[in-house]
Order: sequence, then C-alpha cells, then structure tokens
Amino acid sequence: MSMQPTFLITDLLFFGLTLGLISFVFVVRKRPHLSRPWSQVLKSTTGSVSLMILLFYYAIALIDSVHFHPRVAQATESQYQYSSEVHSLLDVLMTPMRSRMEKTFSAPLATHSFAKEMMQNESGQMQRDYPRLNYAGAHLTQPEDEKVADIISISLIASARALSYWALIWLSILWLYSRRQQRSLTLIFKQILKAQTAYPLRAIAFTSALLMLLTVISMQLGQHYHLFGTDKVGQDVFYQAVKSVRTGILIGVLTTLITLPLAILLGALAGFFRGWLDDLIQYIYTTLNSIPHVLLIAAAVLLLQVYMSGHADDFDSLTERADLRLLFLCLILGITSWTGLCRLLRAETFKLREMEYIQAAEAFGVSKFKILMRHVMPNFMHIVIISVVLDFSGLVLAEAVLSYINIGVDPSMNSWGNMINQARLEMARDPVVWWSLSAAFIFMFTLVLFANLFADVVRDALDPRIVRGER
Amino acid sequence: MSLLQVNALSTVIRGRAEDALVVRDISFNVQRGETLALVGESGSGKSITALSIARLLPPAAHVSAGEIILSGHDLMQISEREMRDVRGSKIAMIFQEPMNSLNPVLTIGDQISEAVRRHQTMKRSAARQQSIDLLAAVGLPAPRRNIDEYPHQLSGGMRQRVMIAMALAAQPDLLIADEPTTALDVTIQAQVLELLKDLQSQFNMGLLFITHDLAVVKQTADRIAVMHQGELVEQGSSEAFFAAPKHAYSRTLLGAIPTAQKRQQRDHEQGLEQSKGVIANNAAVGPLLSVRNLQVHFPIRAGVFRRTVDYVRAVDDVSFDLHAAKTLALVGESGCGKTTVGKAIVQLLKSNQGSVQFQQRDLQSLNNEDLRKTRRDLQIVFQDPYSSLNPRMLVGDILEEGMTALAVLKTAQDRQRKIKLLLDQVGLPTDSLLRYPHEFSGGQRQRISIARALAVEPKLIVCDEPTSALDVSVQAQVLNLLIDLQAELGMSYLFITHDMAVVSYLADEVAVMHQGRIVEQGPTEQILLEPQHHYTQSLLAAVPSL
Repeated sequence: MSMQPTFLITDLLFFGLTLGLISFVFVVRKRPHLSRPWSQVLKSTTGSVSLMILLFYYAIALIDSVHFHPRVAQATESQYQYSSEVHSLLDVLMTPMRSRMEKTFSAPLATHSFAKEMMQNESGQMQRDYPRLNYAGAHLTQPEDEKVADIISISLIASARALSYWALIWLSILWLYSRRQQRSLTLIFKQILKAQTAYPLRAIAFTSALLMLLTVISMQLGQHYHLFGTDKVGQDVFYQAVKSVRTGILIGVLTTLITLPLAILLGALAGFFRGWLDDLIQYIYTTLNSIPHVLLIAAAVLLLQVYMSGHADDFDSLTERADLRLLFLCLILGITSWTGLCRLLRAETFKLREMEYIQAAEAFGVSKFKILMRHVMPNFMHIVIISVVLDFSGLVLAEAVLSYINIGVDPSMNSWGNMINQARLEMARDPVVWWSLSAAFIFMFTLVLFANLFADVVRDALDPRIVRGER
Repeated sequence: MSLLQVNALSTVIRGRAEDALVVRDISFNVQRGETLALVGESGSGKSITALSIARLLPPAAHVSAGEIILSGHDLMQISEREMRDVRGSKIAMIFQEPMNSLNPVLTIGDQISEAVRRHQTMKRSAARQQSIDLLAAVGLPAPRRNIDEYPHQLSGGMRQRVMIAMALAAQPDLLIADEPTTALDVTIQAQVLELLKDLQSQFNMGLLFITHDLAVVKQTADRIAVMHQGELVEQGSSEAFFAAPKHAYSRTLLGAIPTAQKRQQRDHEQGLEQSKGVIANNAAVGPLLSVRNLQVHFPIRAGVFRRTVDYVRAVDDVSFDLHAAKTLALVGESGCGKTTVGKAIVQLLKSNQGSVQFQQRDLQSLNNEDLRKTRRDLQIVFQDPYSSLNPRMLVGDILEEGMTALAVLKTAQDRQRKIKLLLDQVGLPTDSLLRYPHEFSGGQRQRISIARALAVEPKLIVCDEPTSALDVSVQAQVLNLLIDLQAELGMSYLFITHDMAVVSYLADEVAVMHQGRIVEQGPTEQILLEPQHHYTQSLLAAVPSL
C-alpha cells in the first residue's frame, strides 16, 4: 500500500451527509407529492444549471475530503514509513500545482517573477532584473516570444480533449437512452437541439461542456503555468482557490446541519405546546439574539485555541488541528444562527396547530409526538428547505468575514477568507497584486450566485401559495 | 336603451398548457332601476363576468371577444385612463369579504371621503359632511362616531354597509354586487338586502347581483340569468323562473335546495322511515349524550404577566339531550358559541363547568386512558374540507390513522379491508387510497372526512357545518349521504349549522343558540313552524324563502 488513509472528523461528517443526501433523493423519488416540486426544479433551466454547478463544487469538496498519509520511504522490506503530512485525493490530482513553489509573487500565466532581484547575467555582471520562475514556463527557451503561442496551443489541445471526452460521455448516455426508449438517436438529437425535451437537456449539455472545458484547460495549463499566479510564499493561487472549495462548502453545510435540529425541534415545540415552554424557548433565542454574534464567536475560538495549545500532543498533524478548529467554528456559527429559522417555524406551527386536520387527529387520541411528526413537521418542511438553501450562501460569506478579523478558520487552512485576508495587505502595492483577491472572489461569487439562483427556483417550486398548473 | 348591454362576451384565462375559456359567449342587459341576478355555483364564471365588465380582470385573464356597452359607450374601446373615471362614477362594485375590501389602517371617514373627493372637488369638511350623510343613508347607528372608527371596530354587517356607502359616494348608474351577503349572518343579510333595494330605487341604479343563493335571488331580483360552466343557460323574469325553470341545470339547482318536504319524499322513496323507527325504538333506553349546564370561558389576558382579567363567555350554561340514531341541530349565527359546544363535547376544548354525559359516563372525569377508549365512539367532521385533511398524507393513510391510534383493528389486512368498505360507503372510487387530498373536489374531500370519522365506528358524530363550504348541489349529495349512513349504521349526529334549510331537511330536533345560551329547543317542526322565543322568530323571519 502506498498510502495510509486517515479520516478527519469533518471528512466523516461530510461522507455521512453525502449518504444522507443520496437516501433523501431515493425517498423523494418514491413519493409523488415530494418529487413533483423537485422535478419542477429540474425542469427549469436555471434550476438544473445551478444544481449542476453546485454539484460540481460539491464533487470537488468530496474529492478533497479523501485524506491519507502518503508513503515517504521504505525503511525495511515489510515496514513503510508514512509522512506526517496529510494529503487528499485532490492534492494528488493537482500535484504539480501543489508542489511547485516559486520564490514569491508572480502574475497569472507569467514566466518571470513579479519582483526584481539581483542576479548575474551572461557576461558575469550583477544586475537587477525579473528572474525566470522556477517552474512556470520553464520549458520555453525564449519566453517573451513563445509564451502566447504556447498557451494557445496548450489550450487548443486541451479544448479538443475536453470536447471529445464530453462528446463521448453524452453520446454513450444518449445511445443507451435511445435503446431503452426505442427511439432513433437522430430524433432525440433534434429534440435536444430544439429544446423540446421535458428537462432542459440542451442547457445541461451546454453547461457540462463548459465545465469540462474549464476543468481540462485549467488542469493542462496548470502543468506548465500558474493560472492565477502565485502568492507571497510562491504557492499557486489557483490551487489555493480550489482547495478552499471544501472549506466553504463544509462551513455552509455543517453549520446548517447543526442549526436544523435546534431550529426544527425548538420551533415546533414552542409553537405546538405554547405556554411556559414557548416562553422559555422565546427567552433563549431573544437572549442569544441580543448578544453580538461576532463576540460569541471570537470568545469560542479563543477558548479553543487555548485548549489546543495546552493539548498539543493530541494532534497528529497540523491538518488535524486546523480541522478541529473548522468544526468548532461550524459549531459556534450553528449555535448562533438557529434563531431566525426557529422563529419562522414557531410562527408556522402556531398556524398549523389550528388546522382542522390536527384537531381531527386529536379527536382520534393520536399522541402529541405523532401529531408533531406526522401532521406538523411535513407541512413546514418547505420553509426549512428554502431557508437552508438561502442561509448556505450567507454562511459561505460569513467565513470570509470572520477570517478577515482573524477568528475564522486556521490560518494554515486554505479558505477564501484567508486568501482575501492575506491579499488585503498587498492591495497597497504598486503595481497592485490583484490575483489572490480575484481568484477568491470568482470562486466564491460563482458558488454564492448559483446557490442563490437555486434557492429562488426551489422556493418557487415548494411554496404552496404559488398556484401552478398541474402539468 | 338599456343601461348595460353585454354582447357575446367571452373571457379567457391563460393556462400553462392551454387557455381556458371561462366565460363563453354570454349576452345580457341591465335596465335602470332593475336588478339582474347572475346565479351559478362556484367556478361557473359569474365573478369573472363581473370583473370583465369593470375591466378589473387578473393579469392572467383577458376578454377575448364581445362588447360591453354602458349607456351607449363600449367599455372595451376606451383607454385605461377613461376607464378609471367610469369605475366609481358610473360603475361601482361591492365584494364578498368586507374586511378584505377596507384598508385596516385608515379610518372609515378617510376611506369614504377619498371616494367622495375623487369625483367632486370639495373641501375636506364638506366631504366629511357628505360622508356622514352617506353613512346615515346606509343605516349605520351612529355615523358621527363611526366615521372616526377603524374597520376592525365595526361588525361584519356594518363593514358591508360602509362598503355600500363608498360605492354610492359617486352616485353610480350601475352597482355590481358580488356575493355581498354570503359572509354575513341571516339577520344581517336580510337588513343589507333591504338596504340595497331601498337605495336602488332611491338612486334609480341598475343592480347586477351575483350570488349562488337562489333564496336570496327570489327576494331581490327582477330578472335572473343562470350561469353554468361559463355559459348562460337560462335567462328570464324572476316569477317565470321560479314558477317553471326551463333549463335542466336550473331544475337541478332548485331541486338541490333542502326542505322538509323533500326529506319526507326521499325517505318514502328509499323506504327509510321504517328502519329509522326500528332503530329509534331500540334505543329508547336513555339519552346517548346528555349535556348539563356546560360553560366554556376563554380567558382575556392583559398586562406584562398576562394575568387573566376577564373571560369571554363563549358557552354559557348549555343543556340538551341527544338520543341514539337521532339528529340534533344546533343552530345559531356566527359567534354564538355553537362550534365551541361541539369541540367541548369531543373534548378538544376544556369546559369550565357543567357535565357532558356520554353513554352514562361523565367525559370530563375520565382519565386519559379511558378518554382515549371513549374517543372511538365520539367523532367530529369539520367545516372546511380544505384544512381538515393533511395535504401531505395519502387518503389511505388519513383513513387508517384513527384505526391505528385507537387500535380498532389489529392487523393491517383488516384495516385495508375496512378502508375499502368505507370508501364504498361514502361513494368514492377504490383507487382514491393512493391519491392526495388536493386531487379531490370539495365535496369529495368532505366525503373523505366523513369516512375518516366513520373508520372507528363512532356512535356520535359532531358535524360542524360540514356543508357550508360546498355548492348547493354538492351539499345535497353530502346531506343525503349522512342520512343514508345514519339509517344504515344507526349513529347520532350533533349537527352544527347556521342554515335553516339544512335543519329542516336533516334534523329531528333543534336547539337554537344565541350568545352562548340555548334560547329554545324542541322537535324540528315545532321550532320551525311555531317558534316561541323572539330570537328564533326573528331568525326565521330573516331567512329568505323560496
């Protein structure tokens, strides 16, 4: 075995969540009243395209969650030595970008460093000039003349490869489909091209082509260049931005996972039983709401830091420490952000409680617990789903803000917040170092934008007040 | 020349898949000083017709053909700007829900003066004076005080009077009244109808009266136009219509109205009289349900610590008996506490005082376990077929819930067999089991509710206005279903209603409630024909009859 798998706590949670999502999909598919709104989401172009992009992000995060200690050297025949570093599957896939460190800053796709250095020229004199980068463009002899042509040729070859992969995948899927449907392939092609299919297959095909192109081109270019340049210590910014996807998604998803049980349970209990229980829950969330959240988060993170420096032996690697800090951050964010949803659900339960079907169940002597589970909760689930998707993008942004004031994730962990935080110091330079900031911005913006678009479609599909045709 | 002339009007609502023609090629006219009643069941297109005339259709709908001529001008040809002047000054509308039609944060005076000043330039004080005059004209008790009040301070009938005053502010030629009395109690309805008639002759207006209630039509209309599925099936003078309706649909509509004679006739045809007598004899041992001095008070809380400062006496000293296989109708206007009585009997509400004896056991003294057992025999059917079924449960699961909770049948197969039997009893297809409530119509949903109550084989069903949300023809079906089930299974009904026609059709005994008390009770015929209490008398006098 060339590696020793390790499971960080967040990895396990992430895998568990993925399993949960998959089983949710299976449950929904079996229930017509649940699957109807979701099929409507998929039938809308915005819905399916944004879902694809979100799934793409999710896949990156999933690949990045398979962690292991790589093997370093073979001490004896039977015994391997493993590095104390923790790598993920994504690190392996992006190996050249991860390992090729330059000295310091370099601009996107540059062949020379961003800063001048003293160096010896051919005639042996000392001279200040921009040095060649160690790795980027190292295969070129005359970078000034050859670079553009080289980049274009790499991109073109990569595009051709990407499109052929894409065509192969789509053709085989459509071929299988046409066999099963007993319809000719050309007919299906025509329907897709004219956008006459029930699901927006044309838009999905187009999006998948775009994603494939972007992935393959950036991976190919990344072998020879730094796509988004390098940062202060010479690390590839594109690699950092991609690594940050996992952090962003984890913060969004895990925090929501902590929020949900609190909000659903307390909201439903308060709304259903009223009386002193309602008063108690209301007092709790009013109190929590009146403390500035940043203060709570800062206090909690500082506590954790103290604990971790006191128990340094408990952690095998830096990555594990950073991971625990991430988990703790999700926890404290979750504890501070359940109040809004709880309040909404309490009000909705108030309303549902008065519905006659709940009184009918009471007249049958159905237990309170069963009434809550069977009659109340399913009827406010649309609110939960809508606010989860909306909160998600807010949490991704919250991470960036918290890192900016140094109470976010561990500084050694890749995150958009950390990237922005580090880049802020370089904004005053002239010429300005803009690429770290831009890379973080582009990645974060895409995720948040499509999460929001998706949330809009989901809200329209699940809101029972929006009357729509049965077809 | 007629005041309003509608020629071959068609209105379309855009659908996702295809457009629906909701008003098809209808023509009618309204003269000055005349009332034309547009009659039809829900979904017949009568409200859309009214909105088409005022050009107030929702965005998804539009008039696809026809002309609407008001005193010689075609309303379809003029601009929206001109139309705005027509609305209010020539055409005025009043709607069903007076609460929704008034702005809750403005005083009555503000809203009426706004209407007054829109059409005449006048000073604030003059407009106020005219508003007071209008409020006096529509019969508000204290116009000088009412003018500074907010809508929520007025009762439903007073709010509808305010709406009428606003509609009259500009002295329109044509008044369109869309179910103006449906949300009101019968005594208030009678007053509002009389008021409308007075004002109409006073201002010489044309009145287009839209309603589903044929009894109201008979009282108010000069001419009648019957709509069915977007088409005008019959048109003619009121007398001719009620003497001999021509169209088959009109006859069904009239035939569906419940009366005591129809009940007797039906019982005779179905041979129900005998079986009813047998059951009644068998059960002549003692009352199934006996309510004594029942009181339900809701606390009014105030202050920081929400201490109880006073009580709303929703039910104040109610007593009655109900025998096996009999139907007792609990009649009263909204807010009289009749629903509260029903819920207190089924133990959905706690009563403050009094006793509810069911099968010789006091329900209030039972512990939780015994109460659960008793719930088998005591069920309730609710008013609103849309909120009484959980939209996220299959019909099969809804029907099974009670049986599982009360452990009526032990095995799943037995329960499934019972559910199939229930569907058969209430006349629903067997494939309903795997469908969701929203796939059914209002009448079918009410059948599901009845089947749900029947599932645990109760001895008493409290029916809380089960037919008031339904169309008259569907109401007739549901009432007949209830009668047949009673004859077959021999249970008793406590039938809570405000509708005297339903009472006469269904009930063996009647108890009339007023302000939390029963003012009069006795056999149905006696109460309906020789009411003793003055409240019962005024209630019966207010009911429009055919």
